[in-house]
Amino acid sequence: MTHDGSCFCGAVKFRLECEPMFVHCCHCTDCRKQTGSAFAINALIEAARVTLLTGAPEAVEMKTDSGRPHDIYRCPRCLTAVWSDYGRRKTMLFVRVATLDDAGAIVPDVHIFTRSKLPWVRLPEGARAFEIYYDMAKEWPAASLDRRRALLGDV
Amino acid sequence: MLGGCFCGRVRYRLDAAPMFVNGCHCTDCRRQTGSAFAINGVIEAAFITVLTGIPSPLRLRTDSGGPHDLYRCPRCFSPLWSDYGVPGIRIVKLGTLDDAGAFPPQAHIYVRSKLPWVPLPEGVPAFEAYYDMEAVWPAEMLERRYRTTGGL
Repeated sequence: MTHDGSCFCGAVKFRLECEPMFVHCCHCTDCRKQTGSAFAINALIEAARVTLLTGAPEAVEMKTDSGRPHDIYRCPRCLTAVWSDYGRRKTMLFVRVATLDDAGAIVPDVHIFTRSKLPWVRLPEGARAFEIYYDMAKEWPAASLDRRRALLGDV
Repeated sequence: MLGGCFCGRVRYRLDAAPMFVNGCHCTDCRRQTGSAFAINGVIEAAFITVLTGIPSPLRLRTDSGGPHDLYRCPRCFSPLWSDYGVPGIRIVKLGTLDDAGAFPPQAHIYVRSKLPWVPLPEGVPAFEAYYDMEAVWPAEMLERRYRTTGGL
């Protein structure tokens, strides 16, 4: 199934050509400051499966604790963040689910960095939640692991 | 209460608690933040002291046709606060506070477009769209607001 998305002003429109490999709801303090909200919702997907329909998101370099690069791609007009490229790999994107027209259709697989979750924010019942990160081999579905292996060869 | 953007160029201080905090689930807030909702603290502009940096406003369209200037850090583009044209009032994106959990939403609004998987906290009023401020805000906060806005 495809998912169409756009920035707030509509200058950037894109399509996810298939379901993401995995979806994070990230409660870390970096995501909080970058969104100005409680968490970010990121769909991990192959860059080749994201089709840009109009506009050209621009990369903004973020500092990271690890020292590895993190670029947030934003609409050049309304500055909405549409996706991140962690590690500047160019091959895998963390798409902001909030920018999808059917944002409710994509549910987080895991909640991460819940050690810094805002105390009033409730997690859905039965949610897989991790204080920091998680073991990918254990949590990702086999088909998604295969996709990731084909892409990055790191699992 | 201190806050700032992600990269640290803009630092600010709130010199009072917000008058009221809305968890806003509208699709505009969703896209503008990149999250499921915005945490919007309503406060007098006079109670926001910018300590470093200069937040940069960007005019955004609204369904109502009213103004909306969203102020972001000019370097990392974290959203900091909005000016919806109500005199003397700003809407601070409370996720940018260093202690972002300090002011939980007192109402959730536009839950008609809430992401279905997002649970709402128990005991906090939730509204399909907006609400009647006079019925929902504490009287002393309404007074505080009207002192600033001249009754808006």
